[in-house]
Amino acid sequence: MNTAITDPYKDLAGLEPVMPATGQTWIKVEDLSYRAGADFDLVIPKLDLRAGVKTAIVGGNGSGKTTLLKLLLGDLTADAGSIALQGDAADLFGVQGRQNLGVQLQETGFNPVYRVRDLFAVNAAARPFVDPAVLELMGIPEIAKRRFGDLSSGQKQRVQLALALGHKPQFAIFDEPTSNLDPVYEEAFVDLLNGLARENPDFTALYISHTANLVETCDQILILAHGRVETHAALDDVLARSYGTKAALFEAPSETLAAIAAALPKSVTHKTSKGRLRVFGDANLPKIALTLAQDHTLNRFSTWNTCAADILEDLKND
Amino acid sequence: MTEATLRPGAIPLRFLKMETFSYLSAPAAVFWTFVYPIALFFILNTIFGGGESPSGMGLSYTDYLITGLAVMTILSTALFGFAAVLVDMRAQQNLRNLAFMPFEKRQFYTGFVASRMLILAVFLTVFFAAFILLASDVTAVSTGQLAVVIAYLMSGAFVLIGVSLMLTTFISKSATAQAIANIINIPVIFMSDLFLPAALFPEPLFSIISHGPFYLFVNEVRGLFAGQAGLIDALPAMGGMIAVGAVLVIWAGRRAKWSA
Repeated sequence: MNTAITDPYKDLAGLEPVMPATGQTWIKVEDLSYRAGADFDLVIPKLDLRAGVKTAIVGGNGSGKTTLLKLLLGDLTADAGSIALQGDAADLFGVQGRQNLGVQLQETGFNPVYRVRDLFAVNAAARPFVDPAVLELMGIPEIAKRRFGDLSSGQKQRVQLALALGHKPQFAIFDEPTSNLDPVYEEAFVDLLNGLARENPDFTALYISHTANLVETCDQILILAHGRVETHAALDDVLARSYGTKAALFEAPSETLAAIAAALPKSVTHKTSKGRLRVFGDANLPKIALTLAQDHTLNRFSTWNTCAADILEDLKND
Repeated sequence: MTEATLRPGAIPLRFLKMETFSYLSAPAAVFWTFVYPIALFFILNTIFGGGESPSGMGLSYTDYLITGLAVMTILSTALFGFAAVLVDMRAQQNLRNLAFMPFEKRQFYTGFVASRMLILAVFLTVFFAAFILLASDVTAVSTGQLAVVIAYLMSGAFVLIGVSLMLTTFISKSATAQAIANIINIPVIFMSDLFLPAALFPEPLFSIISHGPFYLFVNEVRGLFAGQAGLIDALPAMGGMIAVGAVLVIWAGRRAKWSA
């Protein structure tokens, strides 16, 4: 068992997810279980995801993120229990419901011979409106004449994201939406997501991501490990509870790191891995860390405000 | 915002265009639909041409070949240019994203089926017109007669595409689709009097072959080509084939999934 993931979250067992007062449940999971082979099963006794909230699903490889998404989308069938859409989202996968839905999935595409402009023409013919600004933001005009199969993986991803968000849906589901994007488009996508949330208070998003910038935008974080929900709570609460507000990094030989760790006050938590010592604490931490840094020979030292990247760094399965 | 008026026919028409270009962009598809039957015609007609049609009806061997190869092409297009392509697109998850766009599956399948029907209609028209105009020893047929022949073939093509669509609802792997297409295609093209005379087979086998749907179909086509039957005679069969094709396409279109 990886202690880095176990220790912080055991404290969160009693943490109640923070829900907006008005948000209805849009995804309700009850007694869900799904087994894939001898080594993996996903078991979620109870989980409510609220509408009007951006929820990031995070977890290490094989933690069950994609399996959960596939169960939601009907690509897999649960062995027991249910995962259901509710409220305004009840008919989200029906033809009319899809007017309010945007989806981007990994390892999916289109007929490679289709031209990008034709895909958007089909999309436009099926929807009452499409915002050209979204298409511009994803750089679609410059690749419009090209065949889908001739695009790079990042360009394909931009096509899928523009198709998913061009109509400004109320509900959006993404599987690693920024995994192939270059930094410019990654930022554009994060801005787009935040913009949609500002424009429409009911905007609801569910996304799997390993990208800190994107996870940082979520209202709630759902952490999966080994097919189980480790945490489902507001991102800020998870950070405050398990990491504090400030962090510092020391990079040095292991003997030096051991000496620094021994000198840390008890109120400070730390994690050591391969020549790196990460330290978490409250507002006093930078001052303490700086003093220790001045007393030791280090390869690298830095401090920062705790953020989603700290959670993501700890997400590994055995 | 780009405001748009939703037009129900726009989506099938878009897919008709996209799938037609998609088909014509695939060298293998173009070869099997357009090049192969023409090449086969020249090879067989060079070797065996000049005599009478093995099926009689007052046709020449060239007439026999043209009609037989036309049937062969609609079969191979339905199997390799339709069923195998569709299964492969599903297996590659190339249809998955369409499932999240707000239109019915039938709108996609209407465009997909229509694209293959259009390609076959163009092929048959060009194929017949070219050989009637250019090849010697071809029975003179009127434009109206040729139109009936092509309409009859298209009715058959609709059934075959319906059967192919139905098959795709049971197949999830590309290799399986290719194997099944070959298992169907090879015996049919060699044992249905398409270009290899069925009368050459031993009597017990011939009696089986002569009751097969492709044998009966190609000989109906030859009867229309020879002028032994006309539109009125062909209408019931054409109506039946179109009805069966429509039922198969609608049923299979509803049953079909977007992904494997």
